[in-house]
Amino acid sequence: MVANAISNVATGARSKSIAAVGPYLKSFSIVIVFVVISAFFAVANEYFMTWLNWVNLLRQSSINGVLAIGVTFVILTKGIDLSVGSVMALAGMIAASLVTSTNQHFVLWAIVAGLGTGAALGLLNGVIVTAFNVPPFVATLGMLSMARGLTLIFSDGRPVPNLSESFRWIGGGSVAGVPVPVLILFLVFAIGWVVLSYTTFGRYVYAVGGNDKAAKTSGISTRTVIASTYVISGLLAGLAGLVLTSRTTAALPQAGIGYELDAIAAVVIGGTSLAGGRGSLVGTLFGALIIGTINNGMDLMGVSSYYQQLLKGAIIVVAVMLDQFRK
Amino acid sequence: MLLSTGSNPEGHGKNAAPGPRDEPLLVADGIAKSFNGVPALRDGRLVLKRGTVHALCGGNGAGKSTFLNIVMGLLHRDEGSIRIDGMAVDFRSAADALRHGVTIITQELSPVPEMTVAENIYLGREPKIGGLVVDFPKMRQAAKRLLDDLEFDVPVGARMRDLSLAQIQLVEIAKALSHRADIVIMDEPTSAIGEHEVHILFNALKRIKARGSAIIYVSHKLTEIFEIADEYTVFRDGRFIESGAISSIDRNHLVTQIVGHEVKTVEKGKPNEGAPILLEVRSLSRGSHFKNISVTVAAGEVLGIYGLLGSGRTEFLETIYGIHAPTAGDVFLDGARVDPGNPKKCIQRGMAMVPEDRKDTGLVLCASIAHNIALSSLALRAVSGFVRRKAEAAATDRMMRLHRIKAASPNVPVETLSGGNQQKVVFARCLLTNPRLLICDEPTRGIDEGSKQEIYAFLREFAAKGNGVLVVSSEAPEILQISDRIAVFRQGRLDHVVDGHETTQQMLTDLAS
Amino acid sequence: MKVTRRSTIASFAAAAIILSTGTAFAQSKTRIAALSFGESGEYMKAWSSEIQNHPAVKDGSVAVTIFDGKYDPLVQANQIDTAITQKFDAIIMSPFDLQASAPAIDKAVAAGIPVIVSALKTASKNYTASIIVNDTEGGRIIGDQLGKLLPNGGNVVLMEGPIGQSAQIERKAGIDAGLAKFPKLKLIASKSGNWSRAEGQSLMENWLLAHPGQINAVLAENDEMALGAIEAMKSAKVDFKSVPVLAIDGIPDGKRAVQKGEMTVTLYKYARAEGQGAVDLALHAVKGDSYKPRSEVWESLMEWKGGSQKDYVVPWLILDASNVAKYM
Repeated sequence: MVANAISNVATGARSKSIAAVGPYLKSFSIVIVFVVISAFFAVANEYFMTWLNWVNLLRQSSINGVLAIGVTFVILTKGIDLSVGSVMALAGMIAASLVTSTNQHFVLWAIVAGLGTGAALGLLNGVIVTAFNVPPFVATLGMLSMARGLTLIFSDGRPVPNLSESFRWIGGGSVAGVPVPVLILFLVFAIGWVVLSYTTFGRYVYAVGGNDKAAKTSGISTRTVIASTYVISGLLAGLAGLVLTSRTTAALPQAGIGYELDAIAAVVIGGTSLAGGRGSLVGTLFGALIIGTINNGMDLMGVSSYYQQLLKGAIIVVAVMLDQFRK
Repeated sequence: MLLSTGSNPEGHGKNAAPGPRDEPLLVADGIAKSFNGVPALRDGRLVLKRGTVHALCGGNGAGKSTFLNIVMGLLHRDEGSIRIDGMAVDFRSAADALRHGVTIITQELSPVPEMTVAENIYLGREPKIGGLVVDFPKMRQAAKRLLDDLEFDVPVGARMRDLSLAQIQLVEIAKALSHRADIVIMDEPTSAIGEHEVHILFNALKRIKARGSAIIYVSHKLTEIFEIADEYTVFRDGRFIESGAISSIDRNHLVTQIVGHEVKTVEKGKPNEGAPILLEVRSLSRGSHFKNISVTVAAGEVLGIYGLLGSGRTEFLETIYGIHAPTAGDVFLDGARVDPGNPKKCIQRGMAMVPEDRKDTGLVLCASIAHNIALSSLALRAVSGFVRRKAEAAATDRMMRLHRIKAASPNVPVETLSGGNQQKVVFARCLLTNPRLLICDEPTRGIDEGSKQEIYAFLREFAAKGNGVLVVSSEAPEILQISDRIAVFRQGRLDHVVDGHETTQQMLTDLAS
Repeated sequence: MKVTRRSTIASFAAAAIILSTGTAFAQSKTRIAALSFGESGEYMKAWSSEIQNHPAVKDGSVAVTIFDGKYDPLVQANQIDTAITQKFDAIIMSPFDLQASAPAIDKAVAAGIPVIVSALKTASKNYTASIIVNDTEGGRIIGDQLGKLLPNGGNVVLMEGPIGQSAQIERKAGIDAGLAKFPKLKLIASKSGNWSRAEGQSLMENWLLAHPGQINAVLAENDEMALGAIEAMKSAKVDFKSVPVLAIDGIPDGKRAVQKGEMTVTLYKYARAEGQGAVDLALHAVKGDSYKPRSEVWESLMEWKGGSQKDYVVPWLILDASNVAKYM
């Protein structure tokens, strides 16, 4: 069904494929896919189109969305960050340890510690990639394991429960009926979008990913730009870790296993090229929403999780096929 | 079967066939092709005789590639006829064309680097023992016979990655001929190789000619055309313009036919005596690439650097511009030392560089014209990290008009532009940083004649405003046309600096080799 | 079925075949959401199929939707949200994490939906009822069984679950208590095999190298790890008669190993009791005290006690070569 929708969109895109509207059409087509999937679930299930369910859906997509936005920066520079799932676990764990009943600090310190952990590990990724020329896949694969190891060492393999009320607000609270994680997602998206579209740094990210040699010749400090994207990815993994830990009200050493794959999937579905230089956060946001919608909608309909996995995989592949097709 | 035919002219079916030798090998007439109603080719004609090198000339958009793609079977013609050896043909695919003896050697060579020469030549059609195991000795023998026959100096057992570009090209040619190709199309074969290798290639072409095959030769380098081609055909705006023997015309005539009107060659005035020194390079060295080079560029001067590929000239430019750090020596701009190894600082100090390979190092191909033009100077048009979009749009617009960059909109990706327009985008990007010294490495590579002249004119004009230009070219006529002085590089050393107004082409090539 | 009424979505028919399980229900049916913590594990798969085989589900008076928690507390929290939105009549939950499940359960109960906790514990105090085996008791039983098997004592190695999970903590506490009664048994090595057969195998391989000929018994906190250990022992040609292997869970492979004499004892965790028992408790919470339980487990294994107790403890069945055939 989704495949149908996507190919319909693809033929539509092809017939009007004028180079100038290409990029817009691209972010537009992902919105159409999202609308088609939503419309299907809306017809198939009476609860899908309720306000409450949309709040759920957005909240359920928020952690993956935040991670995916960070990973988008990295992928735009032709890199990859496999470590976000583990980094978020460590950041959440360190933050949680500062707001337990036995070790209670002001919640701001926990937030700073969590974000700082994420940014520091991201910086380490960036330095390993840029200063030592380790391929990003290898560097962040190493970090995936190292950060998980650190999480287990730090926690001695045990969960950290009983977090303070104010810390739990990050994942569980809401403002004017909108859950805090959703506000965080939209805020991160807005900032990320402005950075990528309106700042020199954003342009450099695209340029470095499109052609790093040309970027260097143009006077861009390519290493700084690339390393910065890993810091951003790490920082947002830290933020996602705070939300996750707060949401589950306990920091778990096994938290976030496999989350990097959903984040990369969201980026890819959103049309960002793994070859770098092309893509947008709008695509990523809708990529994350599509994954969230599929999970949510199929849960609502009681579809076996086995089929959910099958369909999610198919959508990822079709999205990239569509991308190749358009080229 | 296949193995023996290519390497053995006597066994070559088509060559051995009776029939008058002077009958044309290929006759294409009235070829037309439109894309979505837009004609790309209206009237393509070509008469290719056996044993000739036939230059197909034309600017960008002349319809050359459409024509060649039709001959190659990659596109299907709307109108017209193609005859090979008098037989009407209608190719449906490149494989179909290959069966009829038509093959192409493109700019992008595609060897498998880890395989040997012999393995590459017979890739996909290896001789086998019992249909299963590759018969390596037989393959090597066949490859050796083929290469010896062509007098190509390439060891059959060598791995492709160890060969020079020219040798790889020779292997590709041998491969093409082993397919019993009678018609070899070569598209810009010399764009990536140096003068010495061009020489090897041309010798090879002469031998192919002698075997009775014919070559359609496409190149923007007119010097080469006059050196190797026997006949020429000019296309312009999708139409056949004229053809004839190359010996019957001169360079100016050909340029006029290609461009469609008389081209004014750029006049260069003498620079002011006693103009201040803009760039001073003192005893600059970088490892084994170049040693102890000292040279100056005065304000208002164009300094040409002439040398063969591998003479260290590109590394020299890149070191001045900070892409590499020198192992010794210093660079001074306006009398102050430039920090080594930092292009960003060099740009801030007033340098700009047009690199040798615009696709590889000059442009972000997937990004738009506007983004490419603005890339180097974003910081100049930004407030605390935010790009001032209006200022940027205005600057881009000005540059596109100034350089006559032809595109539907500033938002189209540069990869959709022609080579000449792409190069202009690189120039535009460099100029927006307000440079005082422009460093150009092969600025007209793969660019049509009309655009070349525009770039020459621009470089002279830029220098005349009191700026400096440092330009590398391996085309002697080009360097002579634009340079005030010429520094001749040989094996990483600067041997001579000669006056650009008094030197001849012969003197220059003698000094460089 | 609502889907079929709309001609506009006829093109989605192919997908609808896949999606056949959920949407069709009459409003009169009682709707129960069953939150498995992970459908790719054998026990949980058995648990959810037992739920779907409950008499009330089979005769169509109850509609059950199975949710796969994918071993992730966040996914389970999201699914609770979904169940609340969908206005299910009751939720049966097998919480993956003790602590992290608490706020989700509190939320559902606050929304007026009864929550029956099954198979694993939660830190929440607000759940409606629970039906769980006692892991501490299970640990104690295998410790005790081992003491009887090796009256003269010996060296014991122990494979643990993921450190910090409630099942690990409690089974370990039980094992410690059980072994404490037999001072001649010496625990020479213990490490987490993360419930995994593969990890159990490499753990055992390492121990056999580190303590050649010195291991007299193997304890594992679940069958999977014990099965891994058995593979390692086979390769090392260790005699199963002289080195007993004891584990907990009674999964089919575990029972087969007991039948073959490779595993000495496993404790059978009766998925039907935790699964179907939970359905009855959920229906009791929806329909009130008049409800009579329909699963056979209340006759064979446990006492119903009017359905109004908060915590039901499912007893362990000790399986060895003598009785395993009955439960295959």
